[in-house]
Amino acid sequence: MAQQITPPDELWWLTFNQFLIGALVLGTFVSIVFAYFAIRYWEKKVKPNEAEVVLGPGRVAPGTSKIGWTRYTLVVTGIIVTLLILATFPRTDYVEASPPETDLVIWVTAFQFGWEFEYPNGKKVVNTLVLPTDTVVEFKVVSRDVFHAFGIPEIKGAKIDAIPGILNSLWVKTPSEPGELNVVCYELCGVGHSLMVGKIKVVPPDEFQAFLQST
Amino acid sequence: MSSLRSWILRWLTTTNHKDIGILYMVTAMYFFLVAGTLALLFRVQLAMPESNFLSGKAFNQAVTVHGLVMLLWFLSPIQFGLANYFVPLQIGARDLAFPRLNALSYWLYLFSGLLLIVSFFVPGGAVDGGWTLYAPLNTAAFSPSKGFDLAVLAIVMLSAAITLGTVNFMVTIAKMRAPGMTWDKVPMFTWSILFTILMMLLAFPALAAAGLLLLLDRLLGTTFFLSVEGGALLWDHLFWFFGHPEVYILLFPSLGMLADIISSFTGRPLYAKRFVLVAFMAATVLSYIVWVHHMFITGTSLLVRKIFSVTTALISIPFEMATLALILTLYKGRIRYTSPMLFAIVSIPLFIIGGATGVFNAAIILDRAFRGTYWVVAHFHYIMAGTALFAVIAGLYYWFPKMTGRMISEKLAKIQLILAVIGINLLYFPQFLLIDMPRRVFRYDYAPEWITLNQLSTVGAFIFAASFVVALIALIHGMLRGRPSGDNPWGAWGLEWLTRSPPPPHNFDGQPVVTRDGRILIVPEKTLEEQGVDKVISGEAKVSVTGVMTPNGTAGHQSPSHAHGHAHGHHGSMEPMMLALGMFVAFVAMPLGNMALMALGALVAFASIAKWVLDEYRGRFSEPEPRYREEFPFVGIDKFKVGLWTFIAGEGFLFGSLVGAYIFIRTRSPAWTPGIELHDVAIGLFNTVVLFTAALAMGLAYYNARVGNVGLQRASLAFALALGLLFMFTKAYEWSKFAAEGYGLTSTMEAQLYYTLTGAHAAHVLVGVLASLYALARSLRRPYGPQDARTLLYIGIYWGIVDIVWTFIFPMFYLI
Ligand code: HEM
Ligand SMILES: [Cu+2]
Ligand SMILES: [Cu+2]
Repeated sequence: MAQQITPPDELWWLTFNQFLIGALVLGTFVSIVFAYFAIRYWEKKVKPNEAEVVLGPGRVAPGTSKIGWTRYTLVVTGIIVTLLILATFPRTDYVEASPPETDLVIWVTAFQFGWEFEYPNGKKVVNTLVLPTDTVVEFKVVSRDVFHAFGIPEIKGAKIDAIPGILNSLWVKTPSEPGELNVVCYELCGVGHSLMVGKIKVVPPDEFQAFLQST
Repeated sequence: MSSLRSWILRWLTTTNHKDIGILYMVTAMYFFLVAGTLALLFRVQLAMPESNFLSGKAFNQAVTVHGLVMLLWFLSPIQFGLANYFVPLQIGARDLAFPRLNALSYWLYLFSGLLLIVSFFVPGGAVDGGWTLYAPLNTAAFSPSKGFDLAVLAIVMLSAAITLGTVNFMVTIAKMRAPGMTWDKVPMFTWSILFTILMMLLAFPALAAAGLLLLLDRLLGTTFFLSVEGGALLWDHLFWFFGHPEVYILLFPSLGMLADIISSFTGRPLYAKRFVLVAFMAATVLSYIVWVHHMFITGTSLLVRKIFSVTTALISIPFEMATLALILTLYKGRIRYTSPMLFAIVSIPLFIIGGATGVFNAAIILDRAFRGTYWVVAHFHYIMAGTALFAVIAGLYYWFPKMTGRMISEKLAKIQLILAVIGINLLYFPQFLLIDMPRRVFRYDYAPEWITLNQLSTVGAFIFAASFVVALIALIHGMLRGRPSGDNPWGAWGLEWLTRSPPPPHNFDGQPVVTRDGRILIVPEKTLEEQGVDKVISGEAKVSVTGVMTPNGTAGHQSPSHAHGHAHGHHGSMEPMMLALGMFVAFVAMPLGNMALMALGALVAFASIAKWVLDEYRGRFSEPEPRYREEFPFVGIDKFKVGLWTFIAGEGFLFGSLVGAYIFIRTRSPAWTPGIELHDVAIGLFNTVVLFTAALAMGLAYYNARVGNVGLQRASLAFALALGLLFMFTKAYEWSKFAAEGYGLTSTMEAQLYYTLTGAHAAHVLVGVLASLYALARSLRRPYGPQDARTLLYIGIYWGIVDIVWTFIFPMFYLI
C-alpha cells in the first residue's frame, strides 16, 4: 500500500550527505589554503622579500588597505551555503506536510515520565507501542504537563516537541522488517527525563491486527 | 598586618579599570573551575550507561549549573575582564567613563554568581532545568526547589550588571578615544566589544524580562509560564530572543582578540578590515532575527520557520567572511609562532568545524534530527569551548606581560596547547557521532552503541581539563617566576604596548595621539598645548615624543616621576561592593522567606545608594576631563548624555519585551476582557495628565536653571516632585480598588499583566520621584546654574521616557 511513498528519513540522509559533501569540499579547500599560508609565511620559511611587514611597535593598524576586488570573494562560501539551505525547501515541504496518504494515526501523550499511545479504535497503551511494518504512521503529539520532545532515535528526523496546549504532528514510514525501535524524550523534563524511554515493536501486519483487536 | 588590610581594602574599593579587569578575570577563573568540575562529574557519570555515580537530580543540577556558569559567569566575564583592562588602553583613555559604575557592575556580577553557587545548599538544591530553563518545568508547580528561585534572581541581578556595563563601554568607546583615533583606526578588539555591547543592550533586557515574569510566577503565584496562553512558547521566544544574540556575545570579543593578535604576529593589518566591520555590523543586526532556529520543532508555522532558516543561513556569511579574513591576514606576513599566536591559529580550524555544523542546523529538515541531541552540543562546544575559549587563552597570554611585567613560560603554554587540542577533539568529535543521543540524560542502557563514543568523550574531557591545570601552573609560574618582559616583548602594534608593564594608574605618561598616517605619539601635555592637537595629528608639529620605540621594542619613556600629565586620583569606593552585598543578602533571604535577613540586606543596599548619591551631591568625584576625540555620531554630546541614552535604550527594550509578552499572551487568549470594562478610564486619564505635567515641570526647572531664575527653578522642581507623588498615590488607590473588586495579582491573565506592566512602570516613576527629590534638595542648597543645568535636562529626559512608556501602557490596559 505505502510502498511508493518516500520515507522522510530517506530524504534526511540525502540532504545530510549533500551538506556533508559541501562542507567537506569547502572546509578542505579553506583548510588547505590556511595550512599553506601558515607554513609558507612562517618566519623560518619565508624569504625576506616575500613578507611585507607593515605593522609594528608604535603604530595602529590602518583602517583602509588597498585590496581591490579580491575581498568580494569573502562572500562566496556564504552564498553557496545560502543556496544549499534554499535547495532543501521542497523536501522540507514534503516532510512537514501531512503524509501523502495515512495508514494509521496514533495519539501520543507525553507525561512525567512516560508515553501514552492511543490507537484509532481507542485502545490505549503506555510506553510500548506496537506498529505494523511498512506503514505510514502519523503521530499526533501533545503533553499532559511540561515540555517534552517525542523522538525515535532509529529514524532520522522523527522528532517533534510535546508542549502543553499545543498539538503537533509528525509522520514516519515504519521499517519493512520487524524489529524494535526506541521512543526517547529529547527535552529535559525533570528528574525522570532519562528514564522516559518507550519501545516500538514493529510486527508483521497480521500480527498487528491481532494485537489491535486484543484487549 | 596593616599592609594586608590595606591590600584587601584596595581590592574591595578599587574603581580603576585595570584592577577591576583583574578582578573580573580572577573571579571568572574561579567560576570556570566550579563549572569545569561539574562537567567532569557528569562526564564520569556518562562513561557508563547505567552508572550510579550521580543521581538523576544531581546530574540535572550539574549540567544546568555548568551551562549557566560557563556562559554567563565565565566566558563573557573573562572577555570583559580583558576588555576592562585593555579597551581603555587600546583607545588611549585613562579609565572607563564611569569608574564607580564599573565597580558596581563587577560586584553585582560576583555576587550574582555566588547566589547561583549558594543555591546548592538551600532546600531543594540547585537549579536543575537545563541552562535554557524551559517552561513550564521552570515554574514552582514542577520545580519547587528554592535553588531555582536563587538562580532566577542571579540571572536578573547579572542582567543589571551587564546593562550597567554596556552603558560604560558605550560611552568609553564613543567618547573617550585619544585624539586622532578615528573609527577606522580603532583596533578590532575594541570594535568587537562595541558590537558585543550593542547585542547585550537588546538581549539582556529580554532575559531580565523573562526572569522577572518567572520570579512573579514562582514567588507571587502568577501563571505567565504555566498558562496555555503564555506557557512554554512565551518562554521559548523570550529566552531565545536573548539566547541567540548571547551566543554571538560570547564569540565576538574572541574574534576581535584573534584579529589583533594575528595582526601582531604577522605584521599585517587585518585583511579587508572595513569589510569585516560591515560583516560584524550585519551579524549584530541579524542576530536578533534568527532565534526561531532554536524552535524548529515546536510546531511554529512553516513559513515563519523558513524565513528564520534563511536568516540563519545569511548570518553564517559574516562569520565565514571573518574566518577567511583572518586566514588571509597571514598572506605576505612574517608569522612568529609564539604561544598566543599558536592558540589563536588553532582556534581557526575549530571555528571551521563549529561553523560548518551550524549550517547543517540551519536546515529545518536536518535540524529535526539534531535538535536536543549531542550533535548540537558538539556544534556549539567547538565554537565556545574551542574558538572562543582558545582565543581567550591567546588573549590572556598575549596581554599577560602587559598586566604583570612578566612572561608566561612558552614551554608550559605549548604543553597546554597540545593537551588542549587533543582533549577538545577527543571530547567533542565523538559527540557529533552521538547524533541520536538525547542531551541531559544520565542513563542510556537501551543503546549500547553509544557507550564507546561516550567513553572517548570522557577521556577527552579529562585531557582537556589537564590542559587547564597546566594553564593554571603557567599563570602562577609566570606571575611569580616569569622572565621580566619589558614593555613590549612581542614587538606588537597598538597603544597598549606604549606604556609600562604593568601600566601606571593613569595609563600613559602623557597624552596619546594617533597621527593621520597611523603612528602613535605619547605627547607631554605641555607640548600638545603649544603645538595644537590638529597639528600633532597631521604630523606637521615638531614634538619631542615620549613613546617612541627603540629598535629592541622597549618604550623609551620618561621616568614616571615627572611624566604625569594629570595625576589620576585613585578614588576608592566601598559603596559598589556594599550595594551588591546587600542585594545578595536580600536575594538569598527572599525565597527562604526570611524577612529579617531580607530587610537587613535591603537596608545595606539602600544605605549604599544613599551614601553614593550623597557623594555625588557633594561633588566629591568630579574631575577634569582629559581631551578626547569627537566623531560622528557623537559630536557635541557629552558623556552623560550618551550614557543616559544607552541606559534608556536598555530600559526601552525591557518594556519592549514585556509588551511583547502581553501581545503574545493576548493573541493566544480565546477571550479577553477589554481594559475599558475593567478599569476606570477617568482615573487613568487623570494620571496621564499628571505624568505629562511632571515632565513639563522638569523642563521648566531646566529652563529656569538656564536663565538663572532660582525661585522658579525650585518651584518647578517641587511641582514635579508633587506630581510624581500624586501619580504614585493615585496608582496605589487604583490597585487597591481593583484588588478589592476581586482582581488580585493571581486572578485573571488580564489582571496579572495589568499589575506587572503598570508595576514596572510605577517603579520607574518612583526612580523619577527620587531623582526629583535629589534635584530639589540640591537646588535648595546650591541652585543649578547654566553650567550644571544639564543634570535637570537628564532628569527631564528620563521623565519624558517614562511618559512615552505610559502612552503605550495606557491604551493597552484602559482602552482596548
Ligand atoms: C555559522 C554560524 C552558525 C549557525 C548557522 C548556527 C546555527 C545554529 C542552529 C540552527 C542551532 C539550533 C540547533 C538546535 O538546537 O537544534 C544552533 C544551536 C546553538 N548554537 Fe549555533 N550556529 C552558528 C554559530 C554559532 C556560534 C558562533 C555559536 C557560539 C558562539 C553558536 C552557539 C550555539 C549554541 C549555544 C546552540 C545551542 C543552544 C542550546 O540548545 O542549548 N552557534 N546553532
Ligand atoms: Cu524529557
Ligand atoms: Cu541561535
